[in-house]
Amino acid sequence: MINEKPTELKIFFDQPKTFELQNIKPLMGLAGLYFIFSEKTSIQYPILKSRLLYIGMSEKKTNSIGSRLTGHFDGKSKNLGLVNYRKREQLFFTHINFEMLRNFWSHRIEDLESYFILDFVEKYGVYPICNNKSGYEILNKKLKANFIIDWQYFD
Amino acid sequence: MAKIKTIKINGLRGVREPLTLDLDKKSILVYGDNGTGKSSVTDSFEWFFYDKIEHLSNEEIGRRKGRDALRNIFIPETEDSFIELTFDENKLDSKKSIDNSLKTFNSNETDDFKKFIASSFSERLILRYRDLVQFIIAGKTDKLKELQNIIGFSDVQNIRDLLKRNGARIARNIKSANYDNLKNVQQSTILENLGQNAYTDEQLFDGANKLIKPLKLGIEIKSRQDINTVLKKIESKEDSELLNQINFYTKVKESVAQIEGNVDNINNSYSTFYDSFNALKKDPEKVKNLQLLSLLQEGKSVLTKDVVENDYCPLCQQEKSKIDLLQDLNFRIEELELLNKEKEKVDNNSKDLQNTIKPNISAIEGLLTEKLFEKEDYKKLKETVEKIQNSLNNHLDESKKELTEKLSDKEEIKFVKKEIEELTSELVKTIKKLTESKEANLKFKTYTKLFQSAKAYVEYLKIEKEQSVLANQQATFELLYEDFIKRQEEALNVFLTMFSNDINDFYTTMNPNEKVEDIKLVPLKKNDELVGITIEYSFFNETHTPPIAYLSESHINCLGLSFFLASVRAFNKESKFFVLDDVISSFDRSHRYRFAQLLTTKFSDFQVILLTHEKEFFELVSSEVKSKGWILNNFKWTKDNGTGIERGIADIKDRIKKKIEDKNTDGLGNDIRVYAERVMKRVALEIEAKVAYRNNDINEKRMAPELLDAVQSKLTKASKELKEKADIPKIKGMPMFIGNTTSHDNSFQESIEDLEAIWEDVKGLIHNFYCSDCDKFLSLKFYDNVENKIRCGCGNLKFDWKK
Repeated sequence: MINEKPTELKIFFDQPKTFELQNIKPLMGLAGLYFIFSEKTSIQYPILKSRLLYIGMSEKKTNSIGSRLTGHFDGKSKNLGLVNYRKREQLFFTHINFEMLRNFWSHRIEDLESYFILDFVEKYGVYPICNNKSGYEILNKKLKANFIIDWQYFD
Repeated sequence: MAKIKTIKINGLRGVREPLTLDLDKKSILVYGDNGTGKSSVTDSFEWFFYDKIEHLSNEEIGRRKGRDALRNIFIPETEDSFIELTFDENKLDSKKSIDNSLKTFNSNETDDFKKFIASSFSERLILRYRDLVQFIIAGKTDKLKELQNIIGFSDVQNIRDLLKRNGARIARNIKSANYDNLKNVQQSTILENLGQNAYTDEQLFDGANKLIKPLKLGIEIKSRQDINTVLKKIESKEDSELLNQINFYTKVKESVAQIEGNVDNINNSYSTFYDSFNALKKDPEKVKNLQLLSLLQEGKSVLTKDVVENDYCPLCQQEKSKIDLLQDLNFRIEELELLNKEKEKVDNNSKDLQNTIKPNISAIEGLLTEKLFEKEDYKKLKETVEKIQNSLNNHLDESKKELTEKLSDKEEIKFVKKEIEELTSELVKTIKKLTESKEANLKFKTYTKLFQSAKAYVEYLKIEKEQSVLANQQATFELLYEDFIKRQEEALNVFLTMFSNDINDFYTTMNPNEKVEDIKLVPLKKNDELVGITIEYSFFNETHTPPIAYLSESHINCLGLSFFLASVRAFNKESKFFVLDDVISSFDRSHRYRFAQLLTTKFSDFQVILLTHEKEFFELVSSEVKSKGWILNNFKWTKDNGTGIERGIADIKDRIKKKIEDKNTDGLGNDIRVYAERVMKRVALEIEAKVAYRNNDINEKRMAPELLDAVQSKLTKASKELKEKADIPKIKGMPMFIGNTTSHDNSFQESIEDLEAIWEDVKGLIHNFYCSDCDKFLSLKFYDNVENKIRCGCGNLKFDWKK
């Protein structure tokens, strides 16, 4: 690991893309995190409101962000929440390529996803609405990192 | 729509002396034995419209689109060869000439004429026997190509293919450039230096302001220009060497990080290439067959271009039907084309691999030109970078191997990601160490971080823009492509239905009461893409495809002809004429007659130029087509003149009159002889004067003395009155009627006065047998059994006659 002592790093999200195949296709072969959010609907989470619906992860390039998002898009991932939100309104997504954080995160991508989800839980009080978690899990953010995530992006 | 008034040909192919066909917009049936030069007319016609002669355009016969073999070999060098066509629309009249140096000229250079010629490219003007069944026996892909060619869909198809190719090329470029990887290398640099990433100016400025805050410069960065201002303000000349080092390491780190982000792609691309390469290579038969493909394709070209005219295989010299050979070749080529597709797949995988590696190779090549690499201190790093370069080059070399070579094993050549990751990590550490080596020098540290992050951000925007331009292009091509497919299919289906109805109509007209019906052209699709067309028909109420398996050669020819005629109906928009050159050769008797009826009934609005070498067909359909206003003509070939027309009686009579008027004795005696021969032949036929039987065409060649003797002999038995009046011995004593066949070619040296007198006598003789009132000859068909007289059609001319 490069940073023995976790330095504070602010993570901004890339430009939002409309949730459609044309925008998903270029993400084939990429590993990292992706975030699906609504255009208008703000979810009232226990602490704050957010348009973020789902945090997802692709741990390897063969099951890339592109293929995971395609699964959500055509409903094959069986995430009913995302399917129904997509039926009601235009959804958006953004992603974080793991390569960007490789020098700052020595753990697995799965752990990075946990880190982000738990950070969201910490700030908003519960898991994103389509992550299918009950919200009763004990918060456990013990991995060393000091990412300041720009959740306001989804406000 | 244009119809032809005259065709005049001189010095082209077999035509040495001027040959004129006065068509006056009428259809014509031309008979000429093999070698009389019918095809010279077709060839000249093809050259006039298409500027080439397809069957002469190969290496063996000629080059330059057949022009080498176009001029008649006996034509004087100073003389131009030409074909001149006049039309009912005078503005289209043109004479196309070719001189001895094979330069060509067109007398008509108007836009109207150019438009007319351009439109003929999408029309169907000529059908030769050898092309008759091409479409029917062609493979499904060739059928589609052929049809698309003539319906003008080739351009659509070309554009569609172009869209597809471009879309795929851009997609490959995007994939191989690995833009997301490149962008993230830059974002990673920003993150390292600013403690945040930045996708927007705002985010960059926000991070930059936080970075410079401790320096208390009193400047707030609000633009990229402000960043430059700050950099200038805190720049220190003393630290330039260190800064160079940091920049150098950053550059190395970025190049290596790019490779790191591409390692999985390279390994995967190699694996895909390796698997497809070895799958093909595993079967040595496949490799051999691939080499055979080009031979078979050449064979097909030789047969279709009629380099081999008879029914034998040009390779083994064994007798074999050309249609069977072509069918066989088409089948084998289609089979091998699947294999060829497999090879194309390997080639594409090879290209993909090359495209994936090449940007990294370029980056490394650029990197190795850095001056610091020349210094001893950086020797080790240089070796490491060169090792990576070698490895990339090895991949590139592998991608270029032929199927006969062996590829390196995947594991042997594989990039070990961990090694690259370690190198990147090492470089990051070095940069950090160098940046922080002057911990106390806050200005230097800030300068370095701001400089690196601003540079990375600009680079990021550049990559983002490039990616977005390409992604938009790709999306546009894909959308256009999808739309094209949809529209192409819709239009093609409408066309095929209409076209199939015509083919079915023409075929069933030629083959009534047979159980072949509902002939259709059916599009074939694979993965939603149009890949070919097949012919479907119902036979005893059962659907069959393709036709060659069940139909006889004559029926396949009928189908080919129906296809051509349907094409004429569908596509001839400017030219209301077409040439059929010997297309009925393999038709049986019933098909031949119905074919003629088809032309006279369903194509009565067209001008047909129908050439045949089959005497039987000519005779069979002569009366049918003549009654519909067609012109009939015989071609003959002579050593002196090449192809020419065997002139009709009326023609010769007009020529004789003209020569007498002009006092021109040149060939006049011969003309009078030929005229008398023709008329006496007819007289002999009508009064049933017998001549000795001879075999085949020789039976037609009766000389005047023989005919005059036969008529005289018949008159002696049947009509004393007519015998006296006709006075045949007087005619028989004339110089041109003395002698035998050989003397035919002798020219007469009589004076014009003599010849005038002879002509009057011949006319006098003929008037005893021919009635100008009813335009009929005396004939036993009109025999009056009550008065026992032979008479003409109207009865104005009659003589006693003993039966």
